Amino acid sequence: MLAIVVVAGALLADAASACTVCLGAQTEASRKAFVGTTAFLTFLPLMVVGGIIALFVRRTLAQEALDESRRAGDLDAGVESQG
Amino acid sequence: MAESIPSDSPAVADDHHGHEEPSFWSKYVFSTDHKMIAMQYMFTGMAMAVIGGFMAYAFRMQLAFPGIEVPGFGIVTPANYNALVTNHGAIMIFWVAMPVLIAAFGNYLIPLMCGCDDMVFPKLNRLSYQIFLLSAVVLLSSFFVEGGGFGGAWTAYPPLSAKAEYSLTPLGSSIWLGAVALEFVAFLLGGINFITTAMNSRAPGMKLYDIPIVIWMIVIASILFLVSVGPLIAGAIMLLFDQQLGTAFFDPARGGDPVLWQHLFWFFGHPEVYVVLLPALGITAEIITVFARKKLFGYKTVLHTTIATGVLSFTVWAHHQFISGVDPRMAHVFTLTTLLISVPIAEMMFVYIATLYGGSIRLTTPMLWGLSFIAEFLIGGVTGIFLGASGADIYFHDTYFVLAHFHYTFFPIAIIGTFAGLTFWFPKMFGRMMNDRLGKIHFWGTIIPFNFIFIPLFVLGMGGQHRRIFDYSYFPELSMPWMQDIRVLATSSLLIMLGFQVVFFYNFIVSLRSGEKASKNPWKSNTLEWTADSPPPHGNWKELPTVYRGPYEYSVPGRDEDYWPQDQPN
Amino acid sequence: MEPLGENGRSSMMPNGLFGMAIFIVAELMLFAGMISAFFIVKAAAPSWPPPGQPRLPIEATALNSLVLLASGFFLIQAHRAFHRGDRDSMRRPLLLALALGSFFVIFQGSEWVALLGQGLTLTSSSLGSFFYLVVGVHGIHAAAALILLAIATVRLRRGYLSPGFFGAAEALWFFVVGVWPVLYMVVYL
Repeated sequence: MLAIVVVAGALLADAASACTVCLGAQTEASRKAFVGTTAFLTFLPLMVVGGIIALFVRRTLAQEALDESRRAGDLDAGVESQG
Repeated sequence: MAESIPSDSPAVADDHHGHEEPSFWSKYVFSTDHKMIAMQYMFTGMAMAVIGGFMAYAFRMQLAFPGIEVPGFGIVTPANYNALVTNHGAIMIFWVAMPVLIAAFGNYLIPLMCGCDDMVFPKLNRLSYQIFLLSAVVLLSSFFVEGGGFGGAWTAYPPLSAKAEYSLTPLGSSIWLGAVALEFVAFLLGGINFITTAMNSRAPGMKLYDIPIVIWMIVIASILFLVSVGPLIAGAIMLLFDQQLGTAFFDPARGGDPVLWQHLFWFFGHPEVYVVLLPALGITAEIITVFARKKLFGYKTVLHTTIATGVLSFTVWAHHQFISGVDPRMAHVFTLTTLLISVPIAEMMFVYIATLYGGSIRLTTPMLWGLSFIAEFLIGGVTGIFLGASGADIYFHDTYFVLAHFHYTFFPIAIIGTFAGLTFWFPKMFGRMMNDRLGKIHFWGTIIPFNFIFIPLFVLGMGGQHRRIFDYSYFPELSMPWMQDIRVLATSSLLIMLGFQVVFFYNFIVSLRSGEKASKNPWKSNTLEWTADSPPPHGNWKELPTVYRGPYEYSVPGRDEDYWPQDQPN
Repeated sequence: MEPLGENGRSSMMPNGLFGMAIFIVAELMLFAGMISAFFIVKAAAPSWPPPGQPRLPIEATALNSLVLLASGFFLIQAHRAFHRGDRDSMRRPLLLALALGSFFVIFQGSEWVALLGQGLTLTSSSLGSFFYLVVGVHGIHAAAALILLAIATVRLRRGYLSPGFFGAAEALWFFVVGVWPVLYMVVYL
């Protein structure tokens, strides 16, 4: 959904806008390079960090479940020895 | 490299558990104790804040009373003015907000709130501070070389920054860049430490959703910093080569592209705003829950919103370049994303207000700072929406409207956030209570003048007052009497605000020496740092704590006390 | 999966490896920044490569890249042996990885000398600036990673190589090996 809005926004804008400073002396190739590297720099960290975090969270949540069951066992044992 | 990654061998892990009384040098200067390093960062940051504040005083005096001899500084020449403005910005962001909010509070709070005896890489931590201190010295030294300090604005746009013919600071600009690069190395090492400690070394039983919000925010801020800083380091190397080795990365006459620097700079520059914002938001969250005696409204919502903010913060940076000749199609996309990022931040504001709603609020000094953070940052955020829209930004760009906008974001972050955290954790840090009456005098004496400095500047900005002008009397339409009156109002408010900081330093020193002794948990808070002694000894706890619940269990029905520390089994 | 780390603390992976992983993400972005800058300058140039500049040694560097990849391959073998606990059969692939990696760095250095002689310098054109910047930064990383691997070799011989240290050293080397083909394609081709 968000992607559709963003892409639509990108397409709606026209290069021949009334803004005098928007189109400098840049060539079309140079403008494309800026757009391309902007996308590259924006999405590379999101993908790399997102991948690492997804892996990390999955492993941590699995381990927390394991620790929880183990600790529940410990607590039961503790209660029994006190009682 | 070889030294910077310590091994996991037990010899390294145990070297901060010596029992003999340490000497002065090993205790205060070469300590690997996270609390001492936090204090070193804190005091260095405060010293830099005083220097940065003095710079603001000097150039504001020049703007209000052009050409006068500023008491304590002298005549402000155009070159002085440029150097002062540039270094005021750089110091306040890189040498005040970053070291105090991330490094000082991160170092102090992460091990204490996660129940560790220290950071996982204590020696790396010490190295981080030493590099940071070196960077501060290098920065200040740039004022004393031939040509004076760098004057090309803290954003250092080429070609102004790249060529000595333009900047007139052949050495100052390179020293400035070197200082910034060193400072980044310091925070790179620090960030690795923060993330690893918080994610890899928490107390037994502390699950991901039991970590206090401020720790999450510092960790997410560190991730943002580490991921965004690379392109800027690449740009800084290229700029340094342009300055000193004669390359032409940013020189259009020889095949380079000056907009390329803005591209690399703002890729870092915008996430950087969130790098310093998140810790301040986290500190506010801790304070608000403690003094409203209520559970944080929607812990998981806050956490997920923070992550969303982090993700979005990488998609907004080109909004700084709307008038740099970027493709208008790109400008549209970045307008949309910029407006989008106000949604999670607004949500955070509502969460905080919802936390306050129905709480039994105690208006202590830290709480006043926390509440004022919400109110003042809101103004900064709302004015940002005007600037985020590319159509409006073309007219507002480089006016005082922009300046007032980002001071309304950075002042709450760097100054209000710091005072909130410092007054809140002062009992833990130094073992004594701060004087509440003096604290409140200082609070009102800071907040009221602050608004009188920057609300007038919004008005001036809408009147068309451009930034980076040394003396407005050269521009008849910018030096009308009403405009000059507003400048005088802003400058006199600044003088009042700076004057009230004396109250803070007096309170700080007197409370440090003879304040009332603080108990372990003076605010009746839940998080782990309040279960250690005040101040915590080396190694923090005799026996490291175990965690049984989340950090915000306040006013739980059916309990005698209205708080429920994380380390109590029941 | 090991349930609890040191002192009964939850830990995903050895601290040294975790810290290095974070560092590598930051370094990845450093290279991403330089690659972006390279593309922007290249796109704005009227002709590429700039006129009057020597041709980059594409073939020789391709062979050298294979040497680097082979070094990475031997390190994988060392990694497997290490995690089998078979420290004796780990020594040979580790030394081979180290030797091939050193060969790569030295060969790159000799190429630099040759190119400087042919008139490609840091200031001769934007191609030269970027060539020395990108390849030089990669070379610094390679040298740092090789020093870490050499320390790991010494520690292996003395019998106290920890998983954290070895993990950090090999992670950095894998990063150096993995990012090189991308840089080769961007800068040379």
